[in-house]
Parts: sequence; C-alpha cells; structure tokens
Amino acid sequence: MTIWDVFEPRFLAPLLAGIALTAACSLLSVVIVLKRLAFIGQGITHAGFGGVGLAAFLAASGWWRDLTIFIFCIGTAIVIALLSRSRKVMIDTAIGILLVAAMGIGFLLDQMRLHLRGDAWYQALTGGRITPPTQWDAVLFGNILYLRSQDVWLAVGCALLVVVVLGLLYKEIVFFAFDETVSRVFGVRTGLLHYLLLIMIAAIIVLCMKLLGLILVNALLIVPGATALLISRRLSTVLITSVVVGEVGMIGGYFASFGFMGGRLPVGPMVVLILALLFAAALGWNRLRPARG
Amino acid sequence: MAEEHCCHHDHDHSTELEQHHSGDAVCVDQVCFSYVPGVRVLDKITMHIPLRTRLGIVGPNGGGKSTLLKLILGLLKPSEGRISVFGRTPGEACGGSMVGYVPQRHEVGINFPLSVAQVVRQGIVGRTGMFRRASAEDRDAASHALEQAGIANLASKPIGDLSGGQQQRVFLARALAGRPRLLVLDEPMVGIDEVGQAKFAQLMDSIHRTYELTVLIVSHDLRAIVAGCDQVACLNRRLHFHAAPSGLTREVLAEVFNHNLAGVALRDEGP
Repeated sequence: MTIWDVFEPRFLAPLLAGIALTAACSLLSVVIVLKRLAFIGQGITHAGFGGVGLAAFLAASGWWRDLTIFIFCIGTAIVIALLSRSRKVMIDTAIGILLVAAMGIGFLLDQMRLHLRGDAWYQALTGGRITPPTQWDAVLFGNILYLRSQDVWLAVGCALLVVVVLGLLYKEIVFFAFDETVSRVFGVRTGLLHYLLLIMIAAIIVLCMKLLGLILVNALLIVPGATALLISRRLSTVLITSVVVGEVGMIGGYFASFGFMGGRLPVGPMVVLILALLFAAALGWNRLRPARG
Repeated sequence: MAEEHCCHHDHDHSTELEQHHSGDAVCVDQVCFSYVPGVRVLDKITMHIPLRTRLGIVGPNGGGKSTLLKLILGLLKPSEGRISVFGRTPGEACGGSMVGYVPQRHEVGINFPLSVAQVVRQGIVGRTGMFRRASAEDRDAASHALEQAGIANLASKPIGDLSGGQQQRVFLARALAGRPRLLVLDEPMVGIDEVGQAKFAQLMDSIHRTYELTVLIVSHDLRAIVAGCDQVACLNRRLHFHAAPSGLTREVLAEVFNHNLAGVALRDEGP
C-alpha cells in the first residue's frame, strides 16, 4: 500500500468517522482538562474492558455488543459520579478500585465462557451462539480499517450530537467548569450537567474504541484540550485550536500509517505520537515566548 | 454557664420574631444543621433579614457562618427548621436570579480561558435559561454591572491576570448582572490589600444606595462588618446577638469568640 491508497472509498469512510469523532473528542477534552475529569475518563475507559468481557460472555455481537459495552461504561460512570458526591471515599481512590475491578471482570468473563460452553444453562443464556475469541490487542489499540460502514455513520451521527449538545449548553458548561458550586447558586443545573458530561464521555469512548482502542482514546480526550490551553487564554481560540490539534493528529496519523513501512503500521499509536509531539511543541512555545500581557 | 447564657439570648430573640414579618427578604426559622448525626454545627437559628437592610454575620472560624450561608443559598438543606428567601425556597429564589452571590475569593485558575466580561456574563445564565441566548436586556445589565464595579476598562483581560481586589469586583459585578434583590457576600475582604478593601467598601456603599438591595455579608473581620452594615448577628453554633452594630459590646464579642472553646466541649449535649 502507498499513501495514495488513502483516497480509495474504503479507506476514506473510516477517515471520515475519525475526523468526526476527533472533533467531538477535542471539544470535550477542553471541558475535561478544565473540569479535571481526566481521571474519571480513565475510569470509564477501563470499564470498556469489563464491557468487552461481558459482551463476549453473553455472546453479543454487532449492535448488541456495542450496546453492552456502552451500558457497562455508563454504569461505571454513574457509580463514579455517585461516589464522587459522597464524602466517604476519595474520588481517585474510588476510580482506582473500580478501574481494576472492571478489568478483572472483563478478563474473567471472557475466560469463563470457554469453560461454561458445555453447560446447559449457559447455552440457554447465549442461545448456543459462540463468538470468536476476543482480540484484546484490537480492543487495546483499535483498528480503524475494520470499521463497518454502519459504524462510520453511527460515529458521525453521535459526534455531531455531542458537538450540538456542547454548543447548546455552552454557557452552562463553561460556568460549571469554572466554578461548580457558584454556578449552581446562579441557577445552572449542575447535577444534570455532571451526568450528561459523563454519558457523553462514555458514548464517545465506546465509539472511539474500534477506531483507536481503549488505551488511546484517552489521548484524544485530553491532549487536544491540554495543548490548546497552552497556546491561548481566549476560550474561542482554545476551542478552535483544540479541534485543529486533534484533527492534525488524526489525519496526520492516518496518512503516516499508510505512508511508512508499506501501510502495515496501526493508526492509533501513530495518532497518539503526533498528538504528544504537538503537546511538547506547545509546551516549548509556552515557555519560550515573552511573558503574556 | 456559657450554654445557659446563649439560651437566654435565643429566647429573647424568638419572642421578638414570633410576630409576622411580611417585609423580610430572608426568614430563617428554628434551623438546625449537622454534617455528622448528633453534632450540630447550627443549633436552632432564627433570624429575619428585613428588606433593604445590610446584615453582617460575624463569628469565629468553625462557628457555622459558611454553613448558614450555604443553607440560605440552597446548597445545603437544613436538618430541622425552615428557610425562605422572598417567600420561596432558597433553591427557587436562586434559580430565579433573585439572589446574587459573591463567593469567597479562591485562587482563580490562572490559565482559565475566560475574560472579565465573560465571567460577568455568567451572572445572567439563570435568567437566560438553558438552550437559549441571553436577551438584549440581560446583556445590557451585564455591561452596566461592569461599569458599576469600575472594571469596564478590564473587560477583555483574562480573569487570571487581575489582582485579588480586581477579581473581587468582577465577582461582585457578576452577582449584580442578574439584577438580584438579595446580595450575599462570603468573606469579601479576605486576601485583598488595604487599598482594595477601602475601594470595595466604597463600592458596596454606592451599590446599596443605587439598587436598594438587601445585603448579607459573612466575615470574621469585625471592622469590615461594623463599618458597612445596619445590623450585626454573631454566630457561634447559636445566634448570639442580632441588632444594630452600636449594641455590639465588648461583652457580647468576648462571649461569641471565646465560646469557640466551650462550644467544642458542649457539642454532644442536646438542646
């Protein structure tokens, strides 16, 4: 394969999904960095492993598999949200525990199904279906080229929805991120926003999973916003820069993975590498330029 | 003995307040609050703030000042008793932009990408409502508040670039932008230099005169309260005094502030 093969329709469609999801991720990442939700994002991401294991255990495939993973992630997000409102456990402790528990459940369920294959109740549960062995490396690092065409449209649709919701609730979300308690006094429905943000993050993570893999979704949910915040302190500029950074990473990574070593390199790690370099460059620029007035 | 003494004050107070007050901005009625069951941070607080008065609440740290404020702002719910703000629940009053709030100045994230004007415009989100654009009237109110607070020249600066005193005026402007009827300030003088404090006091004075607001200030700094308030309440788990600042005698203050130590020992005793 050469770099020009990118322009074939079967390679352009996944790129379209990538561009749409990256736009949504980049905008969300500004909120995530400002509201310090990065670790919550980690928690939800790792819940994806639990979801993948549960889906394999239930022999769910296609949409059912996506839905199972989504519900598992949302469930984890809600538990995190509930825990973060109680005073008993520190939030980072709670996430740390949930994160490993979700991964543990995922791997155990994936193994258990192999041993339960002969049991009558398990066959009744799954309807006798057996899904192929879980490809954990695809879950970890994703493979953008294996996207089904319906995945592409779902990704584009959901990304648009996230962008529209962020746009409609712009003033509330910014106030919420700036000072949650004060925004509540001024009439912002903070509880609603908190859950809405977690649900959007969970949905985006499930959609991005096939694209970039669970490990690397986090990069798109943090790096663009963090980079943009080093460049500017005007909110409109920050949002635009964040999307530009995300897209340069996405499109650049996509082309680079086609251009090097005959197109045998995966897209995900390439995207993350470019994002990390952009962040380093922004950090350098932030340090070197004269003091801001 | 101290316990007995403050009960005496409480009784004085409740008989006086049993009369119906229709002209009150805030009514706090027999309110108790505990974070941990059995440990009351606030014990049977009854307090009425008449319309257009400026009430200062003083008291030692840990005396329940911020807790009372959170109850009035609807951020906490009383364990016992009732609070109404303009005849509504605190939540309704805040959601309807009747209450303007100037929080204790914490370190504003130096890199938070908002300009002064954008922060002030946060004050009108409650009026605008979700999914909608601010009305011209509300946007005018926000720019008027900027001018009123004397920070119109800083409008396009990032909020993180301002001094403590300037930031405090931004937060005051944000509170005024929603055109509230009650203004609540939490420790407005903390972390501000002398010049800034004098400016802020002057500003509060002119705002009270122009808008005919009811003002509630919480502070552990007596000077700030006595200078700019019509009424003073001393709070240390119980309400000790509630009258004009001239009645604030050395004895009352000694009792309120020394009671801190006694209060710890007496916590587990019921009313």
